[in-house]
Amino acid sequence: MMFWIWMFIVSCTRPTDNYAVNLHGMGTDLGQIEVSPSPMGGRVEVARYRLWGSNLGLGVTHLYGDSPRADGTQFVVGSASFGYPASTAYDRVSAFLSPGPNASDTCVVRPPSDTTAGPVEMVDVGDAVRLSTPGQTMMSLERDPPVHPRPAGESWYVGYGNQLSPVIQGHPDLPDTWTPGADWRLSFPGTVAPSEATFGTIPYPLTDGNMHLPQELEGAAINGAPVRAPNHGFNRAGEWTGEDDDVRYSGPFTEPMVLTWTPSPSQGELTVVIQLLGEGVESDCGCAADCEAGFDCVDGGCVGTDGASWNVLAEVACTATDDGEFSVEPEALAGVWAQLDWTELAGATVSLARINESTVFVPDVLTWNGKKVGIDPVRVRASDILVTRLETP
Amino acid sequence: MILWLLACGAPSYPDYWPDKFEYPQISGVSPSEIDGRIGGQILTIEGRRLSNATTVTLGGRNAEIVSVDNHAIQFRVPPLPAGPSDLAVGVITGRGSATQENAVEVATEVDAFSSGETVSVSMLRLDCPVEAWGTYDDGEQYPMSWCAADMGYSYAEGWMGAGPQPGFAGEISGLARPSELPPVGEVRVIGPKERNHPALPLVFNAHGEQEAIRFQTPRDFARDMDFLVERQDLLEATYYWADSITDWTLPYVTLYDDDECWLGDLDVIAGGGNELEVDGDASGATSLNMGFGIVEDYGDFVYEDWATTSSAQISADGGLVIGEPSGVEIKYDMGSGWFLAGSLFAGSDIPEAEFEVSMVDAKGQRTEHGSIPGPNYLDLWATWPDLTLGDVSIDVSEDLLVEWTPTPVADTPTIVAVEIAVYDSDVAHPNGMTLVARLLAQGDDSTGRLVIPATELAKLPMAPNRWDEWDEMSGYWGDMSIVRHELRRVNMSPDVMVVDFVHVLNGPVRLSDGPTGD
Repeated sequence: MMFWIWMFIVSCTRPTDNYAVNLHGMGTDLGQIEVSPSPMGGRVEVARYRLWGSNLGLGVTHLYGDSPRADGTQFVVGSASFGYPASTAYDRVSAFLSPGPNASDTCVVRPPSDTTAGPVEMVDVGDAVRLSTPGQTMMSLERDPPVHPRPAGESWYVGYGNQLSPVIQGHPDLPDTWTPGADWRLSFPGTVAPSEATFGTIPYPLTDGNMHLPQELEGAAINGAPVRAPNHGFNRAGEWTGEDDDVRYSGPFTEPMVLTWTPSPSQGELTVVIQLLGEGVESDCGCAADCEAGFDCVDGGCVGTDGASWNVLAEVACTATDDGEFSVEPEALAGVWAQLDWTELAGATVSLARINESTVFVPDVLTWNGKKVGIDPVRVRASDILVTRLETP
Repeated sequence: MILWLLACGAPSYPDYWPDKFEYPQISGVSPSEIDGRIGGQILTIEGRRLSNATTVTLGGRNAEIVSVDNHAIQFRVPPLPAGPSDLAVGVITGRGSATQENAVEVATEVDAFSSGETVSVSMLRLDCPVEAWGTYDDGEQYPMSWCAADMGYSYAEGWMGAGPQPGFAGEISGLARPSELPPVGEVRVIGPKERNHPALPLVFNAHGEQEAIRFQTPRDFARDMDFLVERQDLLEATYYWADSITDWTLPYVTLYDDDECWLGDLDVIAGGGNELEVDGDASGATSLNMGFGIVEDYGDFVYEDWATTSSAQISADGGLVIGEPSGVEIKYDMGSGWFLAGSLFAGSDIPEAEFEVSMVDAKGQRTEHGSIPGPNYLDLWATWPDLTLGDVSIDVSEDLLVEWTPTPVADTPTIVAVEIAVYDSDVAHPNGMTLVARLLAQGDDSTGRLVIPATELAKLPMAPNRWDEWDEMSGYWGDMSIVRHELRRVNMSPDVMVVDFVHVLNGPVRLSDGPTGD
């Protein structure tokens, strides 16, 4: 009996403070790791990508495979999705690159993003979601499907955009697809669903939404070496170098990785995401010649020599003050290694992004059975994303 | 318990529009028939309680509202993708919604022909010039490689979705799609700030890995070699450096094994029917490409090029090769949902012949579905402008005459269309070229003649087709296609397969306001 009383007294003296557990970077307090997500009724996103590193492919967008490789290219891609009831996934999870932790100058380890919106019934808002300036449509995110097959009860998917566009700025005939710092009006026309449809609709138009594009991310360097597009054998003077012009940088796997860039005048935040990639089969092959450059024929499949950018095993996301310098320490990746099977690790990338987030309020959803559901607000996100290649750890 | 029962009876969400007596009513649409899918016509919805209409849809696409009062809404028909002919119209007002099914009918020859289509196949042959001519900054005109000695390719793909897909076959190639063509004799220009025509509303359907569609006609290696000789003649007639060719390797075959890996090249001695005699041992090969090679000797360097003109699945014993039938098999691709052709597919693989059609189901069982007549190709030697030269100038201040040899009279739809596109080669596009503007016109294939008025041509931006100092395309480039669609119907009870044989002559064109002087 005395023993148990003694144990009870001793237990009262047990320290109950927070432990210094930093397995996931910021600790174990969810509120510190990320902003508490809010239920939202959709997301509208536009991203400008620059693939400035070796063996990068369109798999970074989660929309395509990596073959043929697309390193050195840039493009704009938009995506929109709406659903009811409102879902927290729309708030924090991007279709392209999700923002980093809540607190500036911190990192978190997180599993790869599931870009789907969660358990929602999808919502049709009309033919297209448009981003425009007065009198001119800059980006039109067209509905997929363009029309609903009849009987529409078989069809439940409604998405917008997901097509690649060239980066156009200041063209004499074509509208801009990306204007750093611009404010674009966000609108959709509303629609009527086929009577047997099982998805929802927003019947009334949205005319006064807004998307604010971030300032251009310039002057990026890793450990002092400028991040640039590969030259693909020829230099711009037209001289054949014969080299593949490998562009890759040391990651923060054993030494700190110091990122520098031209700071934003607004001194906002920069998102840095290090992604650790597994292998991925792009297409069938019978012999090495069947695979594109940057891929090997392995067991009948073309496999990227630096991993598949659509097969993210784990990632470390950091939020840096947009003051021009940020260092990712090896300790920030401590939690990553527990998530990985080293034998599956095939490559690594780092993405630097300026991400502007806002919300828009939309008319209520008409459900398939004639009910009214409010889904406000809808997440709006514009991202300028620079992706480059890291040495495989 | 009572509260719980009451809670079960309470609706979770309110009705969107609570008063059904305030809903709009549609009594009809006039006119109720439209002659195409490009849009632009003004129609009127008649009914009751239509004031305050905010949204009108036709065939599931948003329509622009032109005017509204309580009894009528005038709206502009939106561009419509291929699909059913009978379209529903929908209206939203501030107090409710209304839909009328089958309110408007699209009445075109393609729509009537495609009724019941559930399997859609496109078989394409595209011919293009060896070189494209462009102009350097100093005014010098010079040819650069365009389609090389192949001068084109063939391709086939098909879609078998989850239900009816009328009109899809003609759209699959993406070239001069019937749904975006103006009526015969008319022209439309799609400017840089106009939206693209709606994409094809494909509905995915799962199929078995073995499923395939075959179009076969008896192999005739003599026919393949005739095509090869015609290609050689075309190359000699259009290639600027033809006088420098010092040696022709013709015909020869490249042999591949089961994995489509290269085995070797052999000269052809003779061929006819399904037999081909080659100069060497072809044993072990299961497929081949036939073609020719050229050698150009410029003194300080020798340039070699090879052209593939046909392909075949084969068996071989020593120097005797036995060819499988000509044609194409498109196999279900689990990754994309499309039925796709294999990689060995060249210009003469879809000959002007009768094709036996069969399908292979998920269990590997093959079913015959009769035969269809093959394509009638545009005559490369008798089509104007001659796009095979890679050196065509169009003066937009004058009407453009397009001429071709009419197709033999057929009881299935044939469409000849002209598409002139202007691209900005300085704007890198992740998926090809950056389109600035397009002109589309539809001709009458029974006349073989189409005039594109200068007033329409002048709406296009000028395309000087320039090379930069690194011999790359610079600035605006023009590109013209003369396209013939020939639709065929295969009745498979209860399904209907529609096949579109598409022939495209494509090449660069300079667009200038006034003669260029070249």
